[in-house]
Amino acid sequence: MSLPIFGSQPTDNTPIVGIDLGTTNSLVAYVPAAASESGARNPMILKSREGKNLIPSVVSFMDGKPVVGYAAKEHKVRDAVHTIFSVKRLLGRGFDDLKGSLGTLPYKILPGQGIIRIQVGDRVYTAVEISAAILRELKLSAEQALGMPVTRAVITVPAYFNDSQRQATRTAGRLAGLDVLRIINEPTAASLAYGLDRKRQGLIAVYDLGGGTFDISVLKLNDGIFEVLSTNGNSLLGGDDFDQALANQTIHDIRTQWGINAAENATLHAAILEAAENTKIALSSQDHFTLEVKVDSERVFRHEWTVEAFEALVQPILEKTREPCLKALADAGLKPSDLSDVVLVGGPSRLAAVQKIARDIFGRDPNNSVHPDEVVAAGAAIQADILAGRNRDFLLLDVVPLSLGIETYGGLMSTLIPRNTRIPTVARETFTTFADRQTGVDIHVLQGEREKVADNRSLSRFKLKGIQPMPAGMPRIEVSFLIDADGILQVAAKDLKTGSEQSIEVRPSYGLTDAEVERMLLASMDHAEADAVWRRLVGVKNDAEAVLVAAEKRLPDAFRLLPEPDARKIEQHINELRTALKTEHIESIQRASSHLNQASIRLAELLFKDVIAQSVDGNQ
Amino acid sequence: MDQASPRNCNSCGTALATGFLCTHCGRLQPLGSEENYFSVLGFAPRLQLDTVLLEKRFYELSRALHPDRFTTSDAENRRISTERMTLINDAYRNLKTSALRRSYFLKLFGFHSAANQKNPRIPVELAETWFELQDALAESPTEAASKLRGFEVELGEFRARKLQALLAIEAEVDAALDKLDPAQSAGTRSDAIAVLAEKLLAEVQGETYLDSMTQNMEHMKKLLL
Repeated sequence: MSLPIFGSQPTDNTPIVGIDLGTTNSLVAYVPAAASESGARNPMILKSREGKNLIPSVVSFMDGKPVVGYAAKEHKVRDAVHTIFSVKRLLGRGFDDLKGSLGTLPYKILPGQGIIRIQVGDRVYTAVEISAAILRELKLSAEQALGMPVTRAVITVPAYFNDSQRQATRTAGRLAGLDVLRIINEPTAASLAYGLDRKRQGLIAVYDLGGGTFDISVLKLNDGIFEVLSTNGNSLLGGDDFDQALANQTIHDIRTQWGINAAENATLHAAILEAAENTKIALSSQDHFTLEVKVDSERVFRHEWTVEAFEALVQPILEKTREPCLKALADAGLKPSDLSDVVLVGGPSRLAAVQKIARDIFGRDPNNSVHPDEVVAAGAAIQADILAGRNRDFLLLDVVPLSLGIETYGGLMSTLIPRNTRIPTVARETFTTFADRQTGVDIHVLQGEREKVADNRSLSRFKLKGIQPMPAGMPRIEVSFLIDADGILQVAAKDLKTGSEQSIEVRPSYGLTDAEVERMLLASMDHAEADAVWRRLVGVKNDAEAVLVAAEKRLPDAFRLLPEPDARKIEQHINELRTALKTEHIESIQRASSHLNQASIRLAELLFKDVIAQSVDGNQ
Repeated sequence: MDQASPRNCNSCGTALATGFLCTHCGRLQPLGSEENYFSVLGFAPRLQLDTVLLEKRFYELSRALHPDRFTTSDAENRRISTERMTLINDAYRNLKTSALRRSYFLKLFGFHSAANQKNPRIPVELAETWFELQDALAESPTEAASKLRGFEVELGEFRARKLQALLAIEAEVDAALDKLDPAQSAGTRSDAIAVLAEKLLAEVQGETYLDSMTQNMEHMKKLLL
């Protein structure tokens, strides 16, 4: 006799916390099991061991031991070479990805292949280890606040984080002693916290400008269902860029004034970055502020910034958020006026300039009522609560951020799962061989939005062997893509004739670098036109070639069955089409093909009658 | 629902109230081979659906079956939940827009042979203007621009007429299916709508061609205007 096992079986009663692992600040939140006095189970931000809500994402090494948070931030200037900040920008990336995408950092990054390594004193760390130190601090803070062990978490990442960055985040969690139950996107998490108030329904856009990344997500909120309609972003853009812009201006001014290269002096450089950050923060609440940096024992650099001058400086940076917003709306099939709200998230959204650009893009006043720093962690806590089986009212329906497909003949990417497809999902498509007696095919898994293989990111390659030798085009090879609710992709290829099968879990190599995602996205916007023309040309040429081959084959029949001038005409059209096919001119290929088709109609009829006649004769 | 035949729980044998979950033992029911995009969302296979109801059903089923609801359940329930949700996501995407729904419907009833075939012929009604436009394109860009505008209007009107015809056939097909006993075999139902389905197929093929023509035209507009 078996025991009834109804519904979910909570095997583990330890809390699942939500973590916002930010570029500049991190937070941990939790939805308490018991309802508050008001009857609501609202997420609460757990205080850090320093007694604050925010934990600066800064790790400083004192005598080789990591210190995290405000204590570490104090060392940013005093001990710049031993203090690591903005490590999120390095997570899941290689040294080559950094070129141009990152301002010079006061701490030392070692050149080399593969994963980024940071030198601190005589020790070398990876970004994963530094992130793990931050996560460990969050875990300890949560344990102190809740008074029990914390081993499970939901961690947020930018929507445009690629898989290698997501995997790196998971790994960091594991190093910190956390079982990462789910990685969710920051704007989506924000929407969960925003929608906690059930009166908030309808179509919303979440404009999330963080310290190092920009994300835009369009969602439909309906009675506790959070349906992501589309997502876009710019993973090389954030509040840090404002600091960098101010710092670069300062470095330039110091050089002009005294001939000093501040970028070469780690301590001075760190001091400038800190002064820049303070200036940015001050300008979110006052209309002018004097940036002040002590250059050396006798000189102090001062520059008064007005809000106007600051806004002019950062305008080109903010302008870069427009295109992703428009793209996300288009993907969701919406106009700005369809939205019922535009929610601003992230520290920089406190700046008037950010609110202004959002108003300009969406044509409405953005909603800045959510707490810009805390809303993401709160949302992560809500998702944790859902996964713990304690919130049956809410459900998040998520999508894949970038298209997935395989390489096909002619250097084209054939998309199997378009971006913004709901997960879990499966896609199957049948392909065939290009050469006679081909016994193996190369399955090349790709990610990206462009038409040509070379413009997309290669994720993985594997071979399907044991195909029965047949003429080209005869074998049928089914390729299937499976993505589960965690976003993990599995690819399989199967010869439908022989049943021979190969599959691969595309996991660790699922790594688009930030810079690559970015480049691909921008390129796809710039080149969408050129790509479409090229694809059309390939299609038209293929069709026309088929017409040409068929006509050439029938030409002897033409001379046999048709009056000579008609046959000559077909011959002439064949030559015309052959010439047209040597060009890239779509219209003339189409026209020549159409002419040949028309000229051949009579012949086709005659041939058809011929076949019928023969088969009738044969039957008699 | 179309396939409302009573079934018993795959695990404990209790009669099932809903098709996918046993309220007695909490086991998710594995997908049957007879499930299709329509049945999984609780619809009879029809070309014209109430899309508001479709969305409502999609949300209800997601709420009940999404893998996030089964993270603390056992491996078997988690597997079935992913499998069902995958089908539901796929079904919803394919039934939400009329074009995808139409092509899935035809495939479901076995009329898919011609759906992928290319039909390179320009509709007779449009041919003359189209070739005039082509000539103008080769000779005079200014004339081409005005010809293009004319062609756009003509194509628009033609497409509107075609769409009306398409919708009328769809309604006919649905009405024919409504009259049949749902218990009848798929083959019988397929036979009953065969003639109409052929007509529908021809229209669908025409639509595909017109789509690419519209695309070509939009492309020319960008270059010319």
